[in-house]
Amino acid sequence: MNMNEKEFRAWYKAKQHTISASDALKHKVLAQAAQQSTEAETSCSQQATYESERPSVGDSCQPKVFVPSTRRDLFRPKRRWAVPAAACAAALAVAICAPLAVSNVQSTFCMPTQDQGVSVHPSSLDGTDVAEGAPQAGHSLFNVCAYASSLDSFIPAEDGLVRFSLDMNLDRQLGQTNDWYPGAVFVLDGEGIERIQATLSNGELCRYTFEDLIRSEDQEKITELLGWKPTSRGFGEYYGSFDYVEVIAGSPDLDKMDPNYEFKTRLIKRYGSTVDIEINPDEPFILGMWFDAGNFPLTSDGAVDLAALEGETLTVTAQFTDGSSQTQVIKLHKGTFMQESLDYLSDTAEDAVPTGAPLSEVEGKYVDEAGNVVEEEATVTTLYGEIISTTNEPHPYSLENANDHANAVVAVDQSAFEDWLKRDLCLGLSGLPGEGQLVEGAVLPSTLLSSTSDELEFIPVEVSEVSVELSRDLPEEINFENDTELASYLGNFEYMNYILQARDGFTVDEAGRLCDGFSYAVVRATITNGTDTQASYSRYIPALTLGMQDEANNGLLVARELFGSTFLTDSLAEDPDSVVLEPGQSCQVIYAFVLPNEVTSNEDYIVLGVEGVSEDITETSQFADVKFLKL
Amino acid sequence: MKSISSNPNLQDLESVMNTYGDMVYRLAYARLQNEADAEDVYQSVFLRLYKSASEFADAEHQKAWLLRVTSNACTDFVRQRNRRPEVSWDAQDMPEPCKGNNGARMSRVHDELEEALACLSDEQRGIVHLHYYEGFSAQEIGRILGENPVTVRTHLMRARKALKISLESSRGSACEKVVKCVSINDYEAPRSPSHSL
Repeated sequence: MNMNEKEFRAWYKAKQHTISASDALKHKVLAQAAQQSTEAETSCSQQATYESERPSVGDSCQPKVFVPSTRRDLFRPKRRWAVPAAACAAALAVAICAPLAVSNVQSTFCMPTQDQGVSVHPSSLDGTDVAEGAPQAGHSLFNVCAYASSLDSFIPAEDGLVRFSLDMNLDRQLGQTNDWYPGAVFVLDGEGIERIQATLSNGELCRYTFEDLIRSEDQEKITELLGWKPTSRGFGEYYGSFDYVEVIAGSPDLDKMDPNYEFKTRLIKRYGSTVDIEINPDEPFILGMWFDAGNFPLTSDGAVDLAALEGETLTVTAQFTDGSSQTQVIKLHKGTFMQESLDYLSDTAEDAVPTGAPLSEVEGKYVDEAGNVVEEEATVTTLYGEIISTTNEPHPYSLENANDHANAVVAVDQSAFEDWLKRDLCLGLSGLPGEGQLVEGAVLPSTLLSSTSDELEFIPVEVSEVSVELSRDLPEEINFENDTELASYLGNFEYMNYILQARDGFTVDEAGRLCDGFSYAVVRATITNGTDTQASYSRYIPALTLGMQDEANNGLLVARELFGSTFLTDSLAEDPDSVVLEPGQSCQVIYAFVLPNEVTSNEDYIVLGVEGVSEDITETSQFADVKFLKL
Repeated sequence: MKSISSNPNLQDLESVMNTYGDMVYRLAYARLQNEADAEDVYQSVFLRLYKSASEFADAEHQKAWLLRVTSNACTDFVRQRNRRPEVSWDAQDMPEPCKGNNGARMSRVHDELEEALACLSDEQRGIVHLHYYEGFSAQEIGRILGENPVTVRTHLMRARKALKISLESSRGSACEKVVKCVSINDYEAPRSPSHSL
């Protein structure tokens, strides 16, 4: 059986006549549009008040999108770069009006330019209606501009070169991963761009977003950011989807606890070697480069040798709202330039901005175009791009695998990290404490960490009235958020569980209840300041630990994991994790150790004074001075 | 020349939907093969038109804009769907690529055509639709979609071949034949560069 094209067309057309958009669907869209109009009006009236307080924000009433406050000015260059950027914009305006001659495609769209007062004349699709005055191929309809984050501005290409500034505050290579970010960040500047496609011939592209946070308004986000580390990639409510997160202080004149203290962030999401994405005109679309350091030769300081990128290409296509598109191919080079270091805020963001022509190297020294030797300290070695072609052609690379990594963070190989973390929940000690170590009168002499000394100072404390009970639930006196390990993970519940699982093999639920197979050994005790001076005790290191007789090995199993603890007293110091006790004064302390169920069957617990017990000891002889209570 | 604003009021929006609504919906349905997904794309396209600030010189320009935005929305939709970690949509709504319409109304040939169409990639189906239903040439499709015309022609050629093979042979399922066809043909469009050095 066969079917010719004519028959197929007839069949296909007949099939299409049975497919149509329902009236209900149209009504739904109309209702949504009406609702958006109402919301936009409301938003505008609310925004007007907000804008008056923050004059840098634009005055248009566009659909509400998130744009970090200081980045809203992105396309309004400021400071010393305002002049070249403005010149760039003027050049664009000229290019827009120039003839567009496209060899094969006969593309006839040209840019809509209401501002320029130019007659815009997009043609019909048959290509017969070519607008007089349309741009020539080779004339840039957009500009790839290096982005200097510390300037919060962009640096347009000059002399056909895109000079990528170096973000000096970017930690270019992440520990435990091969991620390497050269800090070569750029934006596309042009009117009417609605979609960007870009391909890096070696390496990948990532998207940069910048978010400014205020302590009093964004506490949860700030807490999560401060706890971010490469191994916590993929965890977190707000930033779990980013591949790299960096937060820097942004208010050098304010105390860090000031409610107005500002934090500036870099949020990086890997997209893949090819990016194809629709852009929002209200939201800057900032791209950077990413490399797997494992695939490149490294310099002596562990950075990717930029020379390995020599000759690679960055191909960028802009699709415009009128249907036209333009592609620029940029060849990458390693180069050393005179640099201008620019601080955005003292001690926070800093960029090394390359200027002028690439310097030559003569006998190990850099020389400028006039042949003068320049100080190496005044130079910066970075990537720069040479625009080698500009055509009005679509993106030349397949978009099939575009945005490959956009929807998920790239998994970090954690196996080495997890192996390193792994430990047994109980420390096994050979031999048993001698009879001489048993304390008289059931008062165990021990020590607690001083909460006032700058040094690691331990001060004496007496422990008495000790009891132990087992439970899968955290005792109600211990606050899950503030008094447990969760606080040390800055509230990052998922990441804490990841570490606990990898390290000790257990997890807890959101109420602190232990998973199957594990129990809290909840130790309650009274501590007394037996000295003749006031003492301020910290709870970070316990006054005691819990041991169980290991009959099989004729030794002890000592608990290692103190998950939570608290003082029960009204005498809390300013620091909620401390207690102040006058001479002879007492308070109750509660410790929640985690133990595997297989070791909790022996209820003959031994409480050991913590002094002298460290994770280094493996022989009983090494804790010969430790006193203990046998319960 | 009269300028057509792309930021219409509700009456304008309704008018544009009456004129081009079926066109947008059919392209979305041709690509996604699913009513619910096509409806989602339809909504996003016309809401975007409603919010958009650019201007169209004439009706053809507006039509081309709608087709391209629809195509891009379908591309984004498919990417999202393919990367979604869990299957969250109703299995009944899923395209069934290797099962044709077995209704009594369809002849066997038409069943096989349906099967073969379902086995094409969503992008190929979109190009087939624009060519055979909307009547655009490969160059015009390339301009509308922002694709290289060579790529469009390649897609069209491969689609034609897949459809023809599915009708010529009586052995094996249509999907098997399409897979074979794809594997033996070199793809002409440039590929993404390799990651390795």
